[in-house]
Amino acid sequence: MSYFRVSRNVELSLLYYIETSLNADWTGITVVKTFKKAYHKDTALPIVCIRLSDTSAVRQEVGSDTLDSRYLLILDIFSTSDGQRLDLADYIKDKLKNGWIHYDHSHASGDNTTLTRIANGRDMVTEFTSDTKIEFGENVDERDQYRHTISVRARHTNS
Amino acid sequence: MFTLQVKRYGMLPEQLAQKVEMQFISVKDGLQVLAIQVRDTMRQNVINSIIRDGSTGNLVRAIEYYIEDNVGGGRTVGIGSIPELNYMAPYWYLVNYGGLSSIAARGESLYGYFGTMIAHGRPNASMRGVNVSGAKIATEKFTPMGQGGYRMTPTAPIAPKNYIEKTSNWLMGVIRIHYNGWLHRTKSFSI
Repeated sequence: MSYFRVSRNVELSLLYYIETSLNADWTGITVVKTFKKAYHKDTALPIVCIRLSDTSAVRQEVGSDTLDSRYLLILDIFSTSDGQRLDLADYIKDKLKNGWIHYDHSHASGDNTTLTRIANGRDMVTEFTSDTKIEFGENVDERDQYRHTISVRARHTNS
Repeated sequence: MFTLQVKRYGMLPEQLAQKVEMQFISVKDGLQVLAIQVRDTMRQNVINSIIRDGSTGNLVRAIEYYIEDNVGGGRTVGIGSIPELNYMAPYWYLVNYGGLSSIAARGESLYGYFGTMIAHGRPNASMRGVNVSGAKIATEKFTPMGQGGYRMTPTAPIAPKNYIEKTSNWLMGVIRIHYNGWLHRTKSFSI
Protein backbone atom coordinates (compact mmCIF):
# COMPACT_ATOMS: atom_id res chain seq x y z
CA MET A 1 0.00 0.00 0.00
CA SER A 2 1.05 3.59 -0.62
CA TYR A 3 0.02 6.08 2.06
CA PHE A 4 -0.29 9.80 1.44
CA ARG A 5 1.29 12.36 3.77
CA VAL A 6 -0.63 15.02 5.69
CA SER A 7 -0.44 17.87 3.16
CA ARG A 8 -1.81 15.74 0.38
CA ASN A 9 -4.49 14.39 2.69
CA VAL A 10 -5.55 17.92 3.68
CA GLU A 11 -5.98 18.85 0.02
CA LEU A 12 -7.82 15.66 -0.94
CA SER A 13 -10.05 15.76 2.15
CA LEU A 14 -11.23 19.28 1.28
CA LEU A 15 -11.75 18.29 -2.34
CA TYR A 16 -13.82 15.28 -1.29
CA TYR A 17 -15.84 17.35 1.20
CA ILE A 18 -16.67 20.14 -1.26
CA GLU A 19 -17.38 17.73 -4.09
CA THR A 20 -19.74 15.66 -1.92
CA SER A 21 -21.50 18.77 -0.62
CA LEU A 22 -21.93 20.29 -4.08
CA ASN A 23 -23.23 17.02 -5.50
CA ALA A 24 -25.82 16.91 -2.72
CA ASP A 25 -27.00 20.52 -2.92
CA TRP A 26 -26.24 21.68 -6.47
CA THR A 27 -26.44 20.26 -9.97
CA GLY A 28 -23.75 20.14 -12.60
CA ILE A 29 -20.82 21.64 -10.70
CA THR A 30 -17.46 20.17 -11.67
CA VAL A 31 -14.80 19.98 -8.98
CA VAL A 32 -11.19 19.70 -10.14
CA LYS A 33 -7.78 19.80 -8.47
CA THR A 34 -5.65 21.46 -11.13
CA PHE A 35 -5.86 24.68 -13.04
CA LYS A 36 -5.04 22.88 -16.25
CA LYS A 37 -8.14 20.71 -15.85
CA ALA A 38 -10.28 23.76 -15.12
CA TYR A 39 -9.29 25.20 -18.51
CA HIS A 40 -9.60 21.94 -20.40
CA LYS A 41 -12.14 22.24 -23.19
CA ASP A 42 -13.95 19.11 -22.00
CA THR A 43 -14.55 20.52 -18.51
CA ALA A 44 -17.89 22.30 -18.48
CA LEU A 45 -18.69 25.39 -16.42
CA PRO A 46 -19.36 25.96 -13.56
CA ILE A 47 -16.13 24.69 -12.08
CA VAL A 48 -14.60 24.76 -8.61
CA CYS A 49 -10.83 24.25 -8.54
CA ILE A 50 -9.38 23.32 -5.14
CA ARG A 51 -5.67 23.18 -4.42
CA LEU A 52 -3.16 23.40 -1.63
CA SER A 53 -0.95 26.35 -2.50
CA ASP A 54 1.43 26.74 0.41
CA THR A 55 2.26 25.49 3.89
CA SER A 56 3.82 27.34 6.80
CA ALA A 57 4.92 25.62 9.97
CA VAL A 58 6.21 26.65 13.39
CA ARG A 59 7.29 24.55 16.34
CA GLN A 60 4.37 23.80 18.60
CA GLU A 61 6.32 24.97 21.65
CA VAL A 62 9.90 25.63 22.67
CA GLY A 63 11.92 22.44 22.39
CA SER A 64 9.14 20.51 20.70
CA ASP A 65 9.80 18.47 17.60
CA THR A 66 6.12 18.69 16.65
CA LEU A 67 5.27 21.20 13.96
CA ASP A 68 2.11 23.25 14.03
CA SER A 69 1.34 23.69 10.34
CA ARG A 70 -1.04 25.96 8.50
CA TYR A 71 -2.19 24.97 5.05
CA LEU A 72 -3.06 27.66 2.52
CA LEU A 73 -5.97 26.28 0.52
CA ILE A 74 -7.24 28.15 -2.52
CA LEU A 75 -10.65 27.62 -4.08
CA ASP A 76 -11.17 29.15 -7.52
CA ILE A 77 -14.74 29.42 -8.76
CA PHE A 78 -15.46 29.64 -12.48
CA SER A 79 -19.13 30.51 -12.92
CA THR A 80 -21.53 31.14 -15.75
CA SER A 81 -22.99 34.33 -14.27
CA ASP A 82 -22.24 36.91 -11.62
CA GLY A 83 -25.16 35.76 -9.48
CA GLN A 84 -24.01 32.16 -9.58
CA ARG A 85 -20.50 33.30 -8.65
CA LEU A 86 -21.80 34.99 -5.51
CA ASP A 87 -24.09 32.11 -4.57
CA LEU A 88 -21.36 29.52 -4.99
CA ALA A 89 -18.88 31.62 -3.02
CA ASP A 90 -21.34 32.06 -0.14
CA TYR A 91 -22.22 28.38 -0.16
CA ILE A 92 -18.58 27.30 -0.07
CA LYS A 93 -17.72 29.73 2.74
CA ASP A 94 -20.65 28.41 4.70
CA LYS A 95 -19.36 24.87 4.25
CA LEU A 96 -15.80 25.78 5.15
CA LYS A 97 -16.49 27.60 8.39
CA ASN A 98 -17.22 24.47 10.43
CA GLY A 99 -14.33 22.44 9.12
CA TRP A 100 -14.42 18.99 7.55
CA ILE A 101 -13.40 15.40 8.21
CA HIS A 102 -9.75 14.70 7.52
CA TYR A 103 -9.11 11.43 5.71
CA ASP A 104 -5.88 9.51 5.43
CA HIS A 105 -5.69 8.39 1.82
CA SER A 106 -3.93 5.38 0.44
CA HIS A 107 -3.98 3.19 -2.63
CA ALA A 108 -2.82 -0.28 -3.52
CA SER A 109 0.65 -0.42 -5.01
CA GLY A 110 0.46 -0.05 -8.74
CA ASP A 111 -3.16 1.13 -8.70
CA ASN A 112 -3.46 4.86 -8.12
CA THR A 113 -6.95 5.10 -9.57
CA THR A 114 -8.78 3.79 -6.50
CA LEU A 115 -8.22 5.67 -3.25
CA THR A 116 -9.03 4.30 0.18
CA ARG A 117 -10.09 6.81 2.85
CA ILE A 118 -9.89 6.40 6.61
CA ALA A 119 -11.16 9.25 8.80
CA ASN A 120 -8.49 10.72 11.05
CA GLY A 121 -9.56 13.92 12.86
CA ARG A 122 -10.70 17.18 11.38
CA ASP A 123 -9.34 20.06 9.36
CA MET A 124 -10.38 23.47 10.63
CA VAL A 125 -10.20 26.89 9.00
CA THR A 126 -8.23 29.27 11.19
CA GLU A 127 -8.42 32.31 8.90
CA PHE A 128 -10.28 33.33 5.79
CA THR A 129 -7.55 35.26 4.00
CA SER A 130 -9.30 36.30 0.81
CA ASP A 131 -12.75 36.19 -0.71
CA THR A 132 -12.83 38.26 -3.84
CA LYS A 133 -13.98 38.56 -7.43
CA ILE A 134 -11.29 38.13 -10.07
CA GLU A 135 -11.75 40.81 -12.68
CA PHE A 136 -9.98 40.61 -15.99
CA GLY A 137 -12.21 43.13 -17.70
CA GLU A 138 -14.27 42.55 -20.82
CA ASN A 139 -13.62 40.42 -23.90
CA VAL A 140 -12.01 37.60 -21.95
CA ASP A 141 -12.37 33.86 -22.16
CA GLU A 142 -15.70 32.55 -20.79
CA ARG A 143 -13.83 30.86 -17.92
CA ASP A 144 -12.32 34.16 -16.83
CA GLN A 145 -15.52 36.15 -17.09
CA TYR A 146 -17.15 35.29 -13.74
CA ARG A 147 -14.36 34.18 -11.50
CA HIS A 148 -14.04 34.26 -7.75
CA THR A 149 -11.32 33.16 -5.38
CA ILE A 150 -11.48 32.12 -1.74
CA SER A 151 -8.34 31.35 0.21
CA VAL A 152 -8.22 29.98 3.72
CA ARG A 153 -5.61 28.89 6.22
CA ALA A 154 -6.45 25.59 7.81
CA ARG A 155 -4.95 23.30 10.39
CA HIS A 156 -5.23 19.58 10.91
CA THR A 157 -6.16 18.10 14.28
CA ASN A 158 -5.83 14.42 15.03
CA SER A 159 -8.71 12.52 16.55
CA MET B 1 -1.71 65.28 66.22
CA PHE B 2 -1.01 63.11 63.23
CA THR B 3 2.00 63.22 60.99
CA LEU B 4 1.04 62.62 57.40
CA GLN B 5 3.74 61.27 55.18
CA VAL B 6 3.19 61.11 51.45
CA LYS B 7 5.38 58.79 49.43
CA ARG B 8 5.39 58.62 45.67
CA TYR B 9 5.91 55.28 43.97
CA GLY B 10 6.49 54.63 40.30
CA MET B 11 7.26 57.12 37.61
CA LEU B 12 6.50 60.75 37.21
CA PRO B 13 3.86 61.45 34.57
CA GLU B 14 6.61 62.98 32.43
CA GLN B 15 8.69 59.80 32.76
CA LEU B 16 5.71 57.64 31.89
CA ALA B 17 5.00 59.75 28.81
CA GLN B 18 8.65 59.45 27.78
CA LYS B 19 8.57 55.67 28.20
CA VAL B 20 5.37 55.34 26.19
CA GLU B 21 6.89 57.49 23.46
CA MET B 22 10.03 55.32 23.38
CA GLN B 23 7.95 52.16 23.08
CA PHE B 24 5.90 53.74 20.34
CA ILE B 25 9.05 54.57 18.39
CA SER B 26 10.19 51.00 18.93
CA VAL B 27 6.89 49.70 17.56
CA LYS B 28 7.19 52.02 14.55
CA ASP B 29 10.70 50.74 13.83
CA GLY B 30 9.53 47.15 14.26
CA LEU B 31 6.76 47.77 11.77
CA GLN B 32 9.22 49.12 9.23
CA VAL B 33 11.46 46.07 9.65
CA LEU B 34 8.41 43.85 9.18
CA ALA B 35 7.43 45.79 6.05
CA ILE B 36 10.87 45.20 4.55
CA GLN B 37 10.64 41.50 5.37
CA VAL B 38 7.17 41.23 3.80
CA ARG B 39 8.37 43.00 0.66
CA ASP B 40 11.38 40.72 0.37
CA THR B 41 9.25 37.60 0.97
CA MET B 42 6.80 38.64 -1.73
CA ARG B 43 9.64 39.37 -4.15
CA GLN B 44 11.14 35.98 -3.37
CA ASN B 45 7.79 34.29 -3.96
CA VAL B 46 7.69 35.86 -7.41
CA ILE B 47 11.29 34.83 -8.14
CA ASN B 48 10.56 31.27 -7.01
CA SER B 49 7.70 31.04 -9.49
CA ILE B 50 9.77 32.00 -12.56
CA ILE B 51 9.74 29.03 -14.91
CA ARG B 52 12.03 30.01 -17.74
CA ASP B 53 14.88 32.30 -18.52
CA GLY B 54 14.45 35.83 -19.79
CA SER B 55 12.46 37.45 -16.97
CA THR B 56 12.58 41.25 -17.07
CA GLY B 57 12.36 41.49 -13.27
CA ASN B 58 9.81 44.31 -13.59
CA LEU B 59 7.29 42.68 -11.25
CA VAL B 60 9.88 42.06 -8.58
CA ARG B 61 11.07 45.67 -8.77
CA ALA B 62 7.52 47.00 -8.70
CA ILE B 63 6.82 45.35 -5.34
CA GLU B 64 7.72 47.96 -2.74
CA TYR B 65 6.55 48.87 0.72
CA TYR B 66 4.87 52.11 1.73
CA ILE B 67 4.45 53.58 5.19
CA GLU B 68 1.99 56.28 6.07
CA ASP B 69 1.65 58.07 9.38
CA ASN B 70 -1.99 58.47 10.19
CA VAL B 71 -3.65 61.40 11.87
CA GLY B 72 -3.74 60.55 15.56
CA GLY B 73 -0.45 58.68 15.66
CA GLY B 74 -1.17 55.37 13.97
CA ARG B 75 0.91 54.03 11.16
CA THR B 76 -0.21 52.07 8.11
CA VAL B 77 2.03 49.82 6.08
CA GLY B 78 1.17 48.68 2.59
CA ILE B 79 2.97 46.33 0.22
CA GLY B 80 2.61 47.05 -3.46
CA SER B 81 1.02 50.07 -5.08
CA ILE B 82 -1.61 49.08 -7.66
CA PRO B 83 -0.95 52.09 -9.97
CA GLU B 84 2.77 51.33 -9.89
CA LEU B 85 2.19 47.63 -10.54
CA ASN B 86 -0.19 48.46 -13.40
CA TYR B 87 2.47 50.70 -14.91
CA MET B 88 5.58 48.58 -14.40
CA ALA B 89 4.17 45.06 -14.59
CA PRO B 90 0.56 45.11 -15.84
CA TYR B 91 0.54 41.30 -15.84
CA TRP B 92 0.86 41.18 -12.03
CA TYR B 93 -2.82 40.35 -11.61
CA LEU B 94 -2.82 37.56 -14.21
CA VAL B 95 0.37 36.06 -12.77
CA ASN B 96 -1.10 35.99 -9.27
CA TYR B 97 -4.57 34.67 -10.05
CA GLY B 98 -3.83 32.75 -13.25
CA GLY B 99 -6.01 32.54 -16.34
CA LEU B 100 -5.85 32.92 -20.07
CA SER B 101 -3.96 35.93 -21.34
CA SER B 102 -5.94 38.27 -23.57
CA ILE B 103 -3.83 37.07 -26.52
CA ALA B 104 -4.73 33.45 -25.78
CA ALA B 105 -8.39 34.30 -25.21
CA ARG B 106 -8.56 35.89 -28.67
CA GLY B 107 -6.64 33.00 -30.24
CA GLU B 108 -3.96 35.34 -31.53
CA SER B 109 -0.23 34.86 -31.64
CA LEU B 110 2.70 36.97 -30.60
CA TYR B 111 6.44 37.03 -30.91
CA GLY B 112 8.09 35.22 -28.06
CA TYR B 113 11.60 35.43 -26.78
CA PHE B 114 13.42 32.19 -26.12
CA GLY B 115 16.60 32.81 -24.26
CA THR B 116 19.26 30.30 -23.55
CA MET B 117 19.59 28.76 -20.12
CA ILE B 118 23.00 30.42 -19.88
CA ALA B 119 22.91 33.77 -18.10
CA HIS B 120 22.98 36.70 -20.55
CA GLY B 121 22.91 34.24 -23.43
CA ARG B 122 21.60 35.23 -26.82
CA PRO B 123 18.22 33.97 -28.07
CA ASN B 124 18.53 30.41 -29.19
CA ALA B 125 16.23 29.07 -31.88
CA SER B 126 16.57 25.54 -30.63
CA MET B 127 15.03 26.63 -27.30
CA ARG B 128 11.73 27.66 -28.85
CA GLY B 129 8.82 26.05 -27.11
CA VAL B 130 10.94 24.80 -24.23
CA ASN B 131 9.02 25.08 -20.95
CA VAL B 132 6.15 26.86 -22.65
CA SER B 133 3.32 24.65 -21.54
CA GLY B 134 0.71 24.09 -24.21
CA ALA B 135 2.04 26.74 -26.57
CA LYS B 136 2.11 26.09 -30.27
CA ILE B 137 5.29 27.38 -31.78
CA ALA B 138 5.55 28.32 -35.41
CA THR B 139 8.84 28.42 -37.23
CA GLU B 140 8.48 31.86 -38.73
CA LYS B 141 11.41 33.93 -37.58
CA PHE B 142 10.92 37.51 -36.50
CA THR B 143 13.92 39.74 -36.14
CA PRO B 144 13.07 43.29 -35.09
CA MET B 145 16.26 45.24 -34.53
CA GLY B 146 18.33 42.11 -34.79
CA GLN B 147 16.65 40.39 -31.88
CA GLY B 148 15.72 36.78 -32.40
CA GLY B 149 12.13 35.85 -31.81
CA TYR B 150 9.55 33.30 -32.88
CA ARG B 151 5.85 33.58 -33.30
CA MET B 152 3.91 31.61 -30.73
CA THR B 153 0.21 31.02 -30.13
CA PRO B 154 -0.45 30.49 -26.45
CA THR B 155 -3.34 28.16 -25.69
CA ALA B 156 -2.65 27.08 -22.11
CA PRO B 157 -3.67 29.22 -19.14
CA ILE B 158 -1.12 31.01 -17.01
CA ALA B 159 -0.88 28.92 -13.85
CA PRO B 160 -1.67 30.98 -10.75
CA LYS B 161 1.43 31.79 -8.73
CA ASN B 162 -0.53 33.24 -5.81
CA TYR B 163 2.47 35.20 -4.58
CA ILE B 164 0.14 37.56 -2.70
CA GLU B 165 -1.65 34.76 -0.84
CA LYS B 166 1.63 32.98 -0.10
CA THR B 167 3.06 36.16 1.37
CA SER B 168 -0.08 36.64 3.42
CA ASN B 169 0.25 33.07 4.69
CA TRP B 170 3.86 33.75 5.70
CA LEU B 171 2.92 37.05 7.37
CA MET B 172 0.18 35.45 9.43
CA GLY B 173 2.67 32.90 10.69
CA VAL B 174 5.06 35.67 11.70
CA ILE B 175 2.30 37.64 13.42
CA ARG B 176 1.25 34.52 15.26
CA ILE B 177 4.72 34.04 16.67
CA HIS B 178 6.13 37.53 17.22
CA TYR B 179 3.62 40.29 16.83
CA ASN B 180 0.29 39.02 18.11
CA GLY B 181 -1.14 41.50 20.53
CA TRP B 182 0.34 44.88 19.80
CA LEU B 183 -0.06 44.67 16.06
CA HIS B 184 -3.75 43.94 16.28
CA ARG B 185 -4.29 46.57 18.95
CA THR B 186 -2.47 49.48 17.48
CA LYS B 187 -1.61 49.11 13.84
CA SER B 188 -2.93 48.06 10.50
CA PHE B 189 -1.12 46.17 7.82
CA SER B 190 -2.35 45.65 4.31
CA ILE B 191 -1.11 43.70 1.30
